[in-house]
Amino acid sequence: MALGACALAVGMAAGCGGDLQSGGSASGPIQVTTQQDIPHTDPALAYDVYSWPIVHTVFTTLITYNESAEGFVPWVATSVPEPQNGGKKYIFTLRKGIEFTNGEPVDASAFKYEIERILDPETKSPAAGSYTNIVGATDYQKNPRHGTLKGVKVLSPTRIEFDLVQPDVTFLQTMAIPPASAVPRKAVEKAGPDFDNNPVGSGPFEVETLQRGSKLVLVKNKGYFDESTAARSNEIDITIGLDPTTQIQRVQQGSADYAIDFPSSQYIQLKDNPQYKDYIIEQPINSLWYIYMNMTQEPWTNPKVREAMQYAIDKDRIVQVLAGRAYVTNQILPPKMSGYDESIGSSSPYDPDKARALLEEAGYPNGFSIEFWDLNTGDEPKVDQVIQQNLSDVGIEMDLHSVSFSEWIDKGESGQTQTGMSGWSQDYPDPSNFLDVLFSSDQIPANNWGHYSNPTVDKELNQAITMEDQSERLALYQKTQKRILADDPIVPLWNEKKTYFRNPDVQGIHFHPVWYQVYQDWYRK
Amino acid sequence: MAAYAVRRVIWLFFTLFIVSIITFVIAFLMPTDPARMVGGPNAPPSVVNDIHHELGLDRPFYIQYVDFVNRALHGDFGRSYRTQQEVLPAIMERFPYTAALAILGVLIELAIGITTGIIVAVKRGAVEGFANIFVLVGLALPQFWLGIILLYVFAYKFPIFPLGGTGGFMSLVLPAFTFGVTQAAFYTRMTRAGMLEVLSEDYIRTARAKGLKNSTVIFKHAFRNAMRPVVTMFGMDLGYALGGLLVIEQVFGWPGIGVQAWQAVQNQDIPMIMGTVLFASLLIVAANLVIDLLYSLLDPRITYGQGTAR
Repeated sequence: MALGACALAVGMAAGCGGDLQSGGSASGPIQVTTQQDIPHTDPALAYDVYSWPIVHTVFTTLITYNESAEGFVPWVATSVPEPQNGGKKYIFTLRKGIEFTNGEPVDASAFKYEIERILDPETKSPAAGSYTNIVGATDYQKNPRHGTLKGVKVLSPTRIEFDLVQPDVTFLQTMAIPPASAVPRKAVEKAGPDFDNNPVGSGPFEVETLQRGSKLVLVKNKGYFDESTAARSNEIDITIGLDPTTQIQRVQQGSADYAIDFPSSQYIQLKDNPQYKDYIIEQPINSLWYIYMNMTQEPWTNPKVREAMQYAIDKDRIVQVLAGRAYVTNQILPPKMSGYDESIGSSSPYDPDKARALLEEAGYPNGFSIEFWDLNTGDEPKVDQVIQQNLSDVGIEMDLHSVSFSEWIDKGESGQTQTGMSGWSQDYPDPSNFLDVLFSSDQIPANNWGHYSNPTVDKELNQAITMEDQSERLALYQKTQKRILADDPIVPLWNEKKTYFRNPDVQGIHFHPVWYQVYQDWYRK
Repeated sequence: MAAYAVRRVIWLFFTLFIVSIITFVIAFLMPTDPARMVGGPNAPPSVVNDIHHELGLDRPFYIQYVDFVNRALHGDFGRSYRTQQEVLPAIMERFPYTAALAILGVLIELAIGITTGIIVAVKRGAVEGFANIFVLVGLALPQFWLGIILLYVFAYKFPIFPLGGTGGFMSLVLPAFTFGVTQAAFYTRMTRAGMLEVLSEDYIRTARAKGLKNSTVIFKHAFRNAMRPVVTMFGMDLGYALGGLLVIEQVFGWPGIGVQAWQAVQNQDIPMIMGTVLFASLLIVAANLVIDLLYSLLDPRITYGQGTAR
């Protein structure tokens, strides 16, 4: 047995020289490099920024986002539907004759099937929570093998109706994100869990090769239905697993076109180099990093103490340790999100004297000590040092718990932590995805780690989610956001800035707030 | 000999069994929930709970272990939580990369190590000094550092080799060289010690007394006998390297099983952790066994089994 294993090893190694793929070149396919594996290509499982650009180019949804992501445009549907029945019913009409690359029809039942898959616990979809407002969803989740999802009705192959339990204008958002993509039932049932490794879609590209941890090759879908949104290049090769430094060197050398990872050291070195002026793409993304203060625990029960915290932190210094790849913020909504309030201003209110004065007023002339929970990855430890120093300057002693991602999130969700750093990035670009998720009392402690609870805020949020007039709705969100900020439940710190390094010969690259990379628009000059 | 081999194979399985228990315990002692890694940061706790249940993580620990062993004995190591791939095929997809790197790397290591070992054993003065410095510097260099420097010089500044990734034989050279250079010193020392010991033996003096050329004495008489411990070490080394070379794989973007195992740990992907750890253990244990058996062939004085001492 042991001898066999060794012989096998040698045999495979000898045979493997020929199997190794050839490297990239400056002509031909567009070459993309990344370190992270692409976690998923199955729309029901994909729920992260690495997977969504792929799903968005391989699969299709009924509607999708426009370029600024502030509105919707039809994709497989012929138009963006108006809500009916007091906001509880949506009917989509589909284009005729669209097929998956395996020949199955992209029809109403293909969309219904995907929503059923997401709700089926066996699929283990992270997106399941986004579709529980559909009528019959919770019943279906309990018993997916028997019966069908009542609230999604296939009226005809080209007409599909969605019935909601509560009116919710963000329903259209959940129809535009990748989990709501049509999937071919026969291919999914045949592949089982391996559908994630053998995706079959109807989007501008199809996956030709997927080797986990090393390569993903996208080739143009010749049978794609819509000329105006078709892929503009024939092939995009994504090389996975490359060290970030190597990625940048490859783009400089010309053997790659687009580096998804950009290390701070090289960013600092290259950002002011005129030779690479056109190589760097910088965009704010819809995310917020903030300090939460558990309002059920001392000393955060005292509003003066929370107010003092707003002046204690040197946000400019934090942006500096983030290598300038962040924007100071003083509000909850990120700058690319509709509802962002320009009037709030974005300069750091850092004023340690004022913070000390407020602490003294609050009855803490000698300060106090806190437990602070944060991630131990990325730039977090550096940021924690700044915060620790700032707090020490105003007399607050910070006991830092620097932990892994899963421990950090477990602790936060337990609702037991006193203070810590948290971050949120959007599921979809709607103010409710920040204000409701992070500050409604329903979300204690799931995402509302600071136990913030304000009945007026809850009432306004519930009202806003049903408002069909977008400008009135945004005005209400701005009002609610000010109301929340006045209670100082968090210290908003920064919005992330994404940076990419690319060869300017590749055209059509624009940064999208939801997809980040829109591969179908890329082409070589 | 046959009885000995059977006994060793039984021990091999016993070792793997112990490794599996330890790995399983460690994977479960992690204070956090693998279902959260599957769900990602935005999944609400209710969804994470459903995933937790669906993965069977709410069952008692020992039941999960028994279930794992039962399935493993039938060749089913489950599916990766993360990529949905079946564990064994997923490892076998990556293994050829690690195997190619390990074999070439160990060969380079051996070539450098033995050459320098002989030099420092038989030469004196500047040559010995250079050889010593070369291997010691190699030993002192961290692999990630040497890898980055080699990439910078020979792939970026002078693009002779590809800048990381996989691309035929050329892409294998720098990572294999990095492994060879940084590990060769062990062989140098062992070869030197073996040579010095053998060179002081009576039969070497006899050979010299017969008037044989120095090179004949060294390569024909001394070298073969000095190689026995080197062969043992070679086996262990190869077994270890085949289990994955995380640092080198990481620096060069080489999609081997070292990176695969590391990612499994990062993602708390328990089936994949179990698969990669057991696979690497099997290689090390098996390589040891093969070497021990080969040993008796190389040196007839060594026999295994009962009664040889009497």
